[in-house]
Amino acid sequence: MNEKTALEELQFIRQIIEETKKAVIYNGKDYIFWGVLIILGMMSTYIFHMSGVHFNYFWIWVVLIPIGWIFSIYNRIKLKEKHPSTYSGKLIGAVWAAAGIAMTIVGFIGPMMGTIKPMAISPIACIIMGSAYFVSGKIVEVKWIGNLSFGWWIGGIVLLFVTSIHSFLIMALLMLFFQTLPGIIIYRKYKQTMAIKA
Amino acid sequence: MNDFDYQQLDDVIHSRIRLALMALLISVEEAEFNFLKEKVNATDGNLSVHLKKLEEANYISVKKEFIDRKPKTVYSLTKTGIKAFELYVAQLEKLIKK
Amino acid sequence: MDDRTAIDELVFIRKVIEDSKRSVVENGKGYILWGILVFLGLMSVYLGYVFKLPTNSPWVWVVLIGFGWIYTLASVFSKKHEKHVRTFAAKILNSVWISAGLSMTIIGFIATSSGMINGLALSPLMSTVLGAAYFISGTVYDSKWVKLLALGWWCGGIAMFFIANIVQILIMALMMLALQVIPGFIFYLSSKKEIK
Repeated sequence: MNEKTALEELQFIRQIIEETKKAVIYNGKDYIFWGVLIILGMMSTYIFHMSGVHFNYFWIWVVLIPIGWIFSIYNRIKLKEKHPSTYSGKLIGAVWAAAGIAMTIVGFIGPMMGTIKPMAISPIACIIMGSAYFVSGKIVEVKWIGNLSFGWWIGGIVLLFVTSIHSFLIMALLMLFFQTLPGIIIYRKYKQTMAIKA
Repeated sequence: MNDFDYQQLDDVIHSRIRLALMALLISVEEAEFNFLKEKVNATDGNLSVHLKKLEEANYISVKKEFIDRKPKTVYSLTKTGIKAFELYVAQLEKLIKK
Repeated sequence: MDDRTAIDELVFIRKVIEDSKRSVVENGKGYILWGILVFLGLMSVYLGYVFKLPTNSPWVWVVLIGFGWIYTLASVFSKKHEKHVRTFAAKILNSVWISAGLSMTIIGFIATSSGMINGLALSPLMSTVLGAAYFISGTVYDSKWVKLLALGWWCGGIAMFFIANIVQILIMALMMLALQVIPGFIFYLSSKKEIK
């Protein structure tokens, strides 16, 4: 066995050690940004409708969702530059990328083809968010993050039965309490961790 | 490679069975006594002695629980254990690169 | 002990780790069972519609999905009782499939009974959720072909949004075979090989 092979063995062992550490350095900015973005979309739709301004509200989302994706990708690149990527970090990235792709398909293609009613987008998005939080909680081993999933699932079930415009208001509140606020908590923890490290 | 400096290596890990136990536990979240016994191919008594040594060094934590009214002992690596194993591997790397 | 080299130590550590990882490979049984159950459900809808048979009933789904959940929960419970070893990856995969199953059950039963989702939206929605679950699983396994299955589910989901007729059900049934049951068999065969 030569040194090159030995170094390969080392690389493999290192990777296993990293997997065991389950370290995730995450700043929570995505959570906050997406939360604020969706609240903005929901509230503007709600306010426009309530004040009698009618147009195809779909266009609000055509603008907001790509902004969210661009920010998410930018934030990931920035984080990767600052911190080495870990196995758990990679998993969290995969969870939210998968949830984002699923919600984008459901939110754009379904209603475009008329297969999904626009009112059904919020409850389905809630159900997908529930899954994403459930798995995230297991990855980072933080119970309260996992428990947010129940808020999303229950919220999703409630929204399945709300057919009025108030559905948008409820979704905005869910986004505030189960996405934006947790994002702020994660962000503050990140700042604290970074301050300790510095 | 004959000038292998054993002085630098962690004595707690530097034994065939304990090294195997650490490597096993680094790749799983937790493992039961019987699983470890089967994998390292040791007797109950021998395995217990090695596990005790790792436990005393705070490299592993032990959880005793009853499943189907049978006592089960479950082992997992502690943060100290992970660090110690990492350091052990780093020292091996140093020796290779010497 | 003194004649061991650092390289020998590293080789030994790697071997132990790989051996340990092999002890907890996915056996694929859950994939196969769920794939077959959903395939049967979809075929009962399709055949019921085409040949005007009484098989197109929501009760068929209640029985099939109920059976799937009982099997899944029983196997999770029995594994917990065996509890020889638990890995992080297995824990994550469990949570991925439990949450995907729960999401699909909510969409399949509650969303349809609320009237928010019509029958023709179900297959593309399920396909999209399955895509997400396969994508995360592919990352956990670090396997390209499992991630490609995700792509298959997502593309299939998008395609089915465009097909608003009974053919959609047949496509979903075929996707279940190709992207769920067959991968399940691949997992099963490779787990048998690992155990050997």
